[in-house]
Amino acid sequence: MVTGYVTRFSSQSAVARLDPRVKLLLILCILVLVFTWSNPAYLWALVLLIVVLSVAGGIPLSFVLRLVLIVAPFAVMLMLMHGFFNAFGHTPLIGPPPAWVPIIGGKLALRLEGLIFGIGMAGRMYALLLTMPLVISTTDLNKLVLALVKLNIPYKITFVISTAMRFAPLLLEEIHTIIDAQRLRGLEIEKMNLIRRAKVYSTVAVPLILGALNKSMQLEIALQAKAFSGSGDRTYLHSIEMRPLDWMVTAIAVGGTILAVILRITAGYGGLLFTLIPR
Amino acid sequence: MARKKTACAQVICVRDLSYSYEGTDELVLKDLAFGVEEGEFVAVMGPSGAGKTTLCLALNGIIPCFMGGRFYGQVQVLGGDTLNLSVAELAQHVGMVFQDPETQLVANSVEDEIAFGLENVKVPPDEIRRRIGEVLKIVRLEGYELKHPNALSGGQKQRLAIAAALALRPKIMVLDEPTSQLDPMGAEEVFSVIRELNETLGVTVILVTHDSERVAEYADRVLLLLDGHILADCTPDELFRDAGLVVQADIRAPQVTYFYRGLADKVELQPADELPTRLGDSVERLRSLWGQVAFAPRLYPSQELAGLGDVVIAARDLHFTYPDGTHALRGLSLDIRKGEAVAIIGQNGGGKSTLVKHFLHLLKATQGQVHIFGQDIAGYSVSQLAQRIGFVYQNPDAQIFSKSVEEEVRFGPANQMKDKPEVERRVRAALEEMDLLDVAQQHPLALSKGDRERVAVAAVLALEPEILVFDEPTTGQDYAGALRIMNMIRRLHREGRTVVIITHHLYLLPDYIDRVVLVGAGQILLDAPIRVALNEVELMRQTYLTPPQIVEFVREIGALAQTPLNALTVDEALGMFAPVLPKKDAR
Repeated sequence: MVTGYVTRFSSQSAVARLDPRVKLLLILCILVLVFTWSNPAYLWALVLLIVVLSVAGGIPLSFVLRLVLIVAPFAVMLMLMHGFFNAFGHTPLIGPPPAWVPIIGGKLALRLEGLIFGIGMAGRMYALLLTMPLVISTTDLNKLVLALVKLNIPYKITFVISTAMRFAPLLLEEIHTIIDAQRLRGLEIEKMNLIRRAKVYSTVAVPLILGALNKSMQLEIALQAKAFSGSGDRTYLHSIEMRPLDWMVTAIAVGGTILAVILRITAGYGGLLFTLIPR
Repeated sequence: MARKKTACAQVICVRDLSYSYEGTDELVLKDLAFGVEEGEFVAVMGPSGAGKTTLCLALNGIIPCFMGGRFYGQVQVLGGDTLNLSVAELAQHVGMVFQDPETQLVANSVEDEIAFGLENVKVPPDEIRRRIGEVLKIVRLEGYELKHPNALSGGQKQRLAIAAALALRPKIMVLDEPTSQLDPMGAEEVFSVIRELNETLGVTVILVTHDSERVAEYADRVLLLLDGHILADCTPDELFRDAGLVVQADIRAPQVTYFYRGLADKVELQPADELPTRLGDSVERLRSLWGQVAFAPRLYPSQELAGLGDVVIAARDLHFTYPDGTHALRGLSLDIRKGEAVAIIGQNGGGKSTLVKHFLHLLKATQGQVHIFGQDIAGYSVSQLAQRIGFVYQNPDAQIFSKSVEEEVRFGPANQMKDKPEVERRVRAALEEMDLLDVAQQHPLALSKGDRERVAVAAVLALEPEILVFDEPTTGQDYAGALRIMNMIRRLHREGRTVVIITHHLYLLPDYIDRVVLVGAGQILLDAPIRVALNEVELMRQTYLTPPQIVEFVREIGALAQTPLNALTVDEALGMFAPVLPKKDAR
């Protein structure tokens, strides 16, 4: 019920069937691009690309939009914070008349450059947020693990990642149960402010951690019984192989990213235009 | 595989096995010695803490190879000493299935779960594919290859765990209470698979369970453990016929055995020492006795439900659909009156929990209303309602988070009221009620399981709710634990509280509950006084519930006597037989 962000969608689309290694590379490219660019137009174009890829990869648009909505308040906050307080801020758009607020009166205003920067930041946040589902939700977990193994990451670590995926939803459910148990003991979580709520969440830690320790103990025993030794010297049911399409995507992604970085450094493409305009 | 000189012909040989866990001196197993023949079905019984799980872990070398601790004696599996065998070899000799369906599944799909063990012992992918098909067929999960374990029911998860163990082709399967967390249908699925493994495939089975009726039916032999000793190593018949052993080990014999023991006190049974332990034998025995015993049919009066107090919980035409589209409640209406003791039964997934969550306002009905004490709960928060209706979770540890018992109990009232003396009065009253005053300052997690259960109940009682709801309070308990909890619930009920329990354990209900509500497919399938409800045997079977064995037996008596009967307990059944013909002391 609360799997939320890590919900899986199986799909046979070309995007979903990309080699997991290529998808991991895509994450890396997006990461580089997101921090190379600060121009909102570039960043939001990237967000759009990610959304298109996600939908092509079998993630329902409604799921993507829900994620966008959930984080929307933070995006708006980012825009306003930058709009009001960013040092780029120059051209005032709206603000209280100077007489209203003494001392800082004349300075407090929503300013165009800050707002534009904030819009870019929001795009950056969305790009990062939406990349994970694009990769994780459309990829068979075993293939992802296999990809990590092929990338020479020790099997123990990849195993931890795959079991974490298995047990994360269970833990989330347990958190819900514990908080419900507290509400059923008269805790008025609905009426609490954020700080007190955070305190409540901290009391959840005790039963949660004890439960998790207990579970991990049982899991360890079960693993022994399944002949698990943590050694990478084992066989794999599934196998992955790079197909021509995978190589093509790799070439485009890597080439494109390198090109973008070069253009940014040499010609300033993707930077904030107004910082280039002399005031 | 290298065999040791001391190898024995049996598949398991345990010699003078003693063991204590790391960090303690207490011996959990004491001088155990037994052997198991190939193809045997051995049940392991005994109360909680007797050493059953520890013994299971010793049979495949997890104790001591992985757990450490002090280990004396020897365990041989297929002729090899567990101390000398590798994890991989042991896993291929002994398959293990544990109690909790969640923590023994490690992969993210059914086929990968089965592949996991095989990959670890380096079976090639083609062979893995073949074996996946093979074992899924045995546990009847064909077509589920790509499902995520979370999408399976409890019974399916346990069958998957069995399949995963089976894929390594072990000669021996050790199953540690595989059905204790399951609903009756899940338990039946799992038992039928275990039986097939043993009978058709010839796998040696070691099964830990509290289910006496099934042990009598399936097992060749019982190992009865108590305090780390083997108290008895005999056939199920020998064990259950020995009243002294059964009482000493705090276990339960099949109900028909209690019946015949009671009957033997009234009339002379031939042959006297062979009390039936299975339903089938019992019926046959009765046929042979019929005519020699004085039988007076009796219809026992049903608990009068009318004339009770006001309606305290009223659900009207409830519909509920989960976000994933599951239509969990479909127009369900139910009234519960003040002072009633009601059991809500039915398969998991039928809507029991969803219904109760509506009483507590943890879920909001898609359609329909719930009234608690005549008030529509829509206007109340969960925490406000908590003062009228208390909910006790099955697992006490999910609701314990304070540093002392007293603080734990204070949490509820302190949340709800500013009046300090009143809070303290309630804390003391709840501690006293649950007999926890002596341990009030201790850390809750330092207490025994039974004490922690009472802490959880006391914490709910401190809000002084008039209605108490218990969620599967006896699941995972041994017989003594289940009785302890039911007695506590009865006491709370007799003090005037309205009690609702969700349960699968129908055999525990007759002495404690007045009314049974059977929920299935989001609707109420049956709502009747317990005497009527438990005698709806056909309906029970359709919904995969197991009526108490004595109820089925009484129906057989009724068939013989050609009259409908409704006895629910062994004593009631015995009450219809009189000591007339050859008396015991007439010999």
